Amino acid sequence: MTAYLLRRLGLILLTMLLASIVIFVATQILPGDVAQVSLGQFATEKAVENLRQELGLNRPAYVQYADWLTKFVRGDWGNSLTSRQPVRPMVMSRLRNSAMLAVIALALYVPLGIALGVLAALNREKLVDQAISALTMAFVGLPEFVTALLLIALFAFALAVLPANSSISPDSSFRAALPSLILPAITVSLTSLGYVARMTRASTIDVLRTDYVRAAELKGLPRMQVLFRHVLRNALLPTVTIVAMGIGYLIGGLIVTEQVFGYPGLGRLLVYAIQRRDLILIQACSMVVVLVFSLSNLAADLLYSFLNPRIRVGIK
Amino acid sequence: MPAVAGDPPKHYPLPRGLRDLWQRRTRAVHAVDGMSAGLSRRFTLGVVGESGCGKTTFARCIAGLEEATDGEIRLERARLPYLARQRPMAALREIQMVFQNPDASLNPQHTVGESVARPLVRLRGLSRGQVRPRVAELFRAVNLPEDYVNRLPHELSGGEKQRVAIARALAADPAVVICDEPISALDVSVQASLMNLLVDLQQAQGTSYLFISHDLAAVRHLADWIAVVYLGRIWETGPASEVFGPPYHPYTEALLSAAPTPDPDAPQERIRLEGSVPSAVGVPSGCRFHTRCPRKIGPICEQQEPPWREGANGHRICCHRPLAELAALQQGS
Repeated sequence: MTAYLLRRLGLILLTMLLASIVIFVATQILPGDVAQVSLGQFATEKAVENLRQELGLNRPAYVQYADWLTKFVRGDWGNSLTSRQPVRPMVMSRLRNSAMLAVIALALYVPLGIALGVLAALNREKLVDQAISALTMAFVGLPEFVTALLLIALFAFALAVLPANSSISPDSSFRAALPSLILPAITVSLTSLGYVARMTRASTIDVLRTDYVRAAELKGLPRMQVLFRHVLRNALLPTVTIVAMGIGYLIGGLIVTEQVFGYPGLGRLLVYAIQRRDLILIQACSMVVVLVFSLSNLAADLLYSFLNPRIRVGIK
Repeated sequence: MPAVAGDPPKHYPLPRGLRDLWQRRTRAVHAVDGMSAGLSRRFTLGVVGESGCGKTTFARCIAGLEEATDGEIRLERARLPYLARQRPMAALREIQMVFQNPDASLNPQHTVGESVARPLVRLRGLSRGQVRPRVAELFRAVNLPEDYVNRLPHELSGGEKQRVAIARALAADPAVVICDEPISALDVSVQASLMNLLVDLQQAQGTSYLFISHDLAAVRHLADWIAVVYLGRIWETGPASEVFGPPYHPYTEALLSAAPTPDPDAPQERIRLEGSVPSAVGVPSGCRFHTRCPRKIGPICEQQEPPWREGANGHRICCHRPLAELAALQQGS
């Protein structure tokens, strides 16, 4: 088990290294650089050149990368190229905001998605199933900004119970931020609900068809007990994977939702950094997102092996 | 007095297409239609037929895993509800099932000991203390080491899993065990020992089997009585000794000629059935077998349902040709 964990953690480090190289190369290919973007299109050639010199952008690419990497592994994440402020506190505060939103969204859509998926599977091809499929799929297909605007129109304007703008101050506590978190969390939940419900439905139907569930029925086990003793634990395995992938998305990918609600999450910071060609900030944001993705996948694999006795033996 | 008797037709409604909506008609798959069977104590009824003929649906209807469309399922004298869920505990206890695929018949999360113990608790109401020795006894009965009780299904081989499944089915001491192709997924070497196990357990416990298989040799070895099924109906039925000798129903004749014989030099004329099994949606008119029958007489086969003809010892064949004529034809070949 320890050896397995060490191997997995080593792989995560390797993933982060590769990701940082890919991101660095990608930013080199992009037209324009931070000096050009900061000073605007009317800046003189001389001014841009001076800023480049100052930020060390004239050095060869591999020197810049090596410089960033050696500092990063020592814990020095560097200063933003645009604001000149250290990026680490900036990224950490956004990560905390994204995590708060993610926790609420997960608490909403995971249990609901599982419940809807099981309900659909039990009523397969009946009206309930079709209604659940149609509704959850509609929200998967609907762009997030549409869902968000509908929710704002309903809860912020018509009912006036929740704020339309979720731009919380950087140091607000979870409790203080909570009202601002609800609408964005519902928005994300509605888009992700369909995946969880679909996956749960499919695997529940598969398990319901197995002979051990039939054998349980022949023992006269009530339907609810069949569900809990025989079906769920086997049927939730694929759902675990879907949820883990969702965590990465919630932390680093909620660009549209965060934008609509003005919520200061990590996704928006990353987009801002890319627009400014702020390489140091891009790298810091990406490393955090990659790390969250990798760790949630690792957690999913551990949970998976805990739920699946066949794999459990393999990693002991 | 039969322990269990059943005649459950099973029709699956087809999803309606646009044309069906237009013409206001519903169509159905006639999976099982006109199959009656009875079982008495310590008796094995073999049901043979090719895949897709309705054997499994028939078994599941009797077990109550599928809801029959019509017909009767009786246990002793009492008529049973179609679904297992609606049957009284006393009836559930009497009908158990062994499934085809050993990998799917045990919950991968539960130890095999637990799987065998559950019916004892649920159906026999045994206490924890009583369960343990009985499980050990069942494991011995199916020739599994007792220390296997704490293993998970994936730690067992296919044959061992099927032994566990048999132990689970027999745990509550049922009157009938429905065996749905219980050995066809296993190695040939394992098949033989499992068949012998089934025979031994029947001797010891007096259980009846409804043994479903496409393997004629297995059915011949195990069954007292045989029913040959094609397209959801029985065409020939009788004691094993009679069914495995002429006169045969033309379909039985074809099935038997397709079975391999141990002697490679033995003259064996194979009857090849032309075409494939007709769809159960549009069942052929007259005799359902006429589209592929090597002994077809003529238009009568296409137009009229064949009559049942009585042979020796309860042997019955449903065919337009008289038994003597069939016997003569089949002796010659």
